[in-house]
Amino acid sequence: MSTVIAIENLTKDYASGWLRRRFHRAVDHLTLEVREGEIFGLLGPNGAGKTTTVKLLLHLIRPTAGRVRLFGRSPEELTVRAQLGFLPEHPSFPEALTGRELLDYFGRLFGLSRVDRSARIAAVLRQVGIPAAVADRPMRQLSRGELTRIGLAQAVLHDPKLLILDDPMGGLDPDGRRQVRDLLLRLREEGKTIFLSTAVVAEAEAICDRVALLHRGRMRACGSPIELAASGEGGKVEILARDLDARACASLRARGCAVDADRALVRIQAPTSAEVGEWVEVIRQLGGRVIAVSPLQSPLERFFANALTASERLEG
Amino acid sequence: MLVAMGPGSWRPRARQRPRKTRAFVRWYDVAMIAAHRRTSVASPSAPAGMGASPFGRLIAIAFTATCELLRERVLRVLILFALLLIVMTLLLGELSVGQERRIVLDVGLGAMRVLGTVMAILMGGRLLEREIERRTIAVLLTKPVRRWEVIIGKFCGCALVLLVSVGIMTSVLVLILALVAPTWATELPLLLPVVFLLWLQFLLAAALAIAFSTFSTLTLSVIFALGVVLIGHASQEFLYWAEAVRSPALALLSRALYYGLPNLQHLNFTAAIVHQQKIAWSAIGMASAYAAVYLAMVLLLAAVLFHRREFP
Amino acid sequence: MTGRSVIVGGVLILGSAGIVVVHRHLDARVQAPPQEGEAVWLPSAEALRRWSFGFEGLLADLYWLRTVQYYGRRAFRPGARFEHLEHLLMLVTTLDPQFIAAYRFGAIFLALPPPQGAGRPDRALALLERGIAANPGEWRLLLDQGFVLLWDLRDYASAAEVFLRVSRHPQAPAWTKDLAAAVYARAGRREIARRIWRDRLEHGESEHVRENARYQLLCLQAEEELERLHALVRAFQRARGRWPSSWPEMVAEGLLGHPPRDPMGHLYQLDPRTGAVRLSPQSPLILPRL
Repeated sequence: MSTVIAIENLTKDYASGWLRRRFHRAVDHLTLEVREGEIFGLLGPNGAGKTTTVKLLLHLIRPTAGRVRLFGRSPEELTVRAQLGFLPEHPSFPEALTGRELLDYFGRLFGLSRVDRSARIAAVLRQVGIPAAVADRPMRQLSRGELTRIGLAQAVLHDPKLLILDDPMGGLDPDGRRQVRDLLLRLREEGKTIFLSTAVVAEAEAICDRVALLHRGRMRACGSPIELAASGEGGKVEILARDLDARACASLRARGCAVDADRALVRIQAPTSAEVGEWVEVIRQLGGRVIAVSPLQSPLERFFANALTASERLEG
Repeated sequence: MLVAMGPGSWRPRARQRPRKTRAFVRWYDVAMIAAHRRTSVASPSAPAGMGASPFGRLIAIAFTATCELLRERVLRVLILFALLLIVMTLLLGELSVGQERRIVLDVGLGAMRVLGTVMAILMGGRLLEREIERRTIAVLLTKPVRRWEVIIGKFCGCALVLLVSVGIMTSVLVLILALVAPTWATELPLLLPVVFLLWLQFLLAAALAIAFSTFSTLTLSVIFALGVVLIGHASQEFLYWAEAVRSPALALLSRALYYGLPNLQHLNFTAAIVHQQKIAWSAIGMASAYAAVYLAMVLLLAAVLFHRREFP
Repeated sequence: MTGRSVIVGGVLILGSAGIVVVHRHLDARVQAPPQEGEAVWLPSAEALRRWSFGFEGLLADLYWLRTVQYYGRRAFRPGARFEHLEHLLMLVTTLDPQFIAAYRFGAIFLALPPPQGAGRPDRALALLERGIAANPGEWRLLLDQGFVLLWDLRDYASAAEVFLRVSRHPQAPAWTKDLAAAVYARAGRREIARRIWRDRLEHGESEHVRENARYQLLCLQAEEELERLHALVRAFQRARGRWPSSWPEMVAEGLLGHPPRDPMGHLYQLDPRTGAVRLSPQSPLILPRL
């Protein structure tokens, strides 16, 4: 598998102030590689430098140090950009245009013929779940979720080999998120490389082949979600149960659960997600009825939370 | 959730479109679709991802810019205002005994100049600045286009809209002229060069606004461009200063300003048409050459500034 | 990358040069034919003021610059004419009626004879009159009016009256009184001149001023004596048909009691060939004063 994105020692300082210039380091000596055909997730809390990294990848901003190579070339080159689809964070597009006009416009920039354009536009609109009526409305009337879908449509319009998506799930409802997830997985099936950034670890965990954790501009961890999670303590689940008496609650607490008894309903936080079945069994034996089991913190989230705490403790 | 409702549930919202779409937009859309057919740039057999020719990209950017501009309500209001003002000249002409022709030309061309300049500056300032401010430019710049193509394309869109506006305003002016002066048909060949040079003035104003908007906010670029245009009509003053001041450094500065700022008086032949003087073709050619070189320099500068800019 | 920068820089430099070249061509084309038009746009002063949108001061400054330049380009050249000078000055002073320098220097430019000026002292007086009407407290404008009357029109009587008015102005310096008196003396109005000098002799602010007043009074006296002696010489000539040869001859005739001396004690001189009477070259008195 060849390398699609190569980032070496990438550093970006933002200057502020006019007379007394102060610098803020947004990305700090970042080095990583994304291989062909994988979904790579760039994770991190708000302000970690994810969007800055994406903009450096696209050459919308110039690096202070280090370099970026896409397909082994500079992102400035038109041939590189012809193979690239980009979805910005909080996408917004010229308001006066309709979605269809925007896609047509971009299609022309890629040199698609009129026939190709109309066929591709219909196809991508279907893929991202935008009905024709919405595509024909000026974009100032569209909701944020609809704009994100239009943004995805324009990113995949020209069938690019590489997709760079900045927070593709932002502003979407749960159904929309599932659709996007399906779309990304399908694109991977087609052999596309996808680089996405998100602040929601669970999403990345579900679809990414590899993830990197960014915090204060530095990479704290990188690897496949399964590897990373295995090295940690495992996740946490929340189990809602009924008909548990005080004795049963005490016994659960003794086994290391956090139990929050509220009238008839008992909220149990079990320490690891690996043994959910066992916990359910234990509750049943204690005479309780399990109502719902929901993940509170996935193993990867738990791992990242610990990694962030560790790095913060390290830096003071 | 949106999709779950199914395509049928979109119909009530879809019906808003005809109400929102004005006749003006509709005829324009027809024109645009027609032009799309004619200017289809790549052959169907061209593999996707090769990218369009630079010319094809320029046309696409220019066309979209034109489309966006023509849908702006502000500009339609301005055109309406221009029409109203020209109609007002009829009233004024009525009041001036025997001087209707003169008044129609003076007020009509004056109104055209003021409104055309304001339109050009607002359009030029908004087109790029708006995309930068709303960050829509980021997506455009990740497409296989060069930054200078964005500048030139947007400028061409502006130029086209200005051409249409000048055409409309001139038609109305000629119509009114025909009502008050029986000689209007013979004056048409005199009027057209003047209007053409007027259009060149607007292009200069738009290019200046675009250049300023590559590094500044909308308000500031409008103010800057308006200032340069106003000074451009009085730049003769700098030549007087150059001869008046004693310090050679100040004289040099005045002279540099005189040649550096656009001399719009050289493109202004309104007085000639009012006095029915024929303008020599060489004069028109020279003035056009001046405007062309100046435009090229402003746009090149804008492209350089835009190229250096970052979009965080 | 750097190669492209060099090309862009080169194109920018070449293009700028092109702009200047074409601009100069256009300038030549525009400025060549209308020689008579002077390339100075002269709107009506009142209209300009009404359409100045609050920039009267700035416009006044601009037109003042143009006026100075208009004058400077033409002054001291043979055949110089200044037909637009007054209009320009009217523009400046209408835009800013308090522009004192415009009135003062404008009046000088207008009043001086060609080729130094327009040779129109009458228009200079009118300009100053407008200035005085707009600036009643400005005694210097009145003073300038006096100088125009004095030097350009040689109208000593009117000039003296103006200077007297200046000297009565509360802010005017005291020397304007001396000036008024001197011009009155030159105009032959010795009585009023003497009154002023006497007043200066009594109330003069310094010894120098009083000394000068005393001297001027002596001059006045000498002037009167010279006039009287001349009348006597005339009478002698009418009676004898020739000019007297010397003062003693006049004394012998009984026309004079003794050879006349000026107030400083020097003998007046008599020219026997022309009958002219003068002060002695040794006398410190000098006449006429202006």
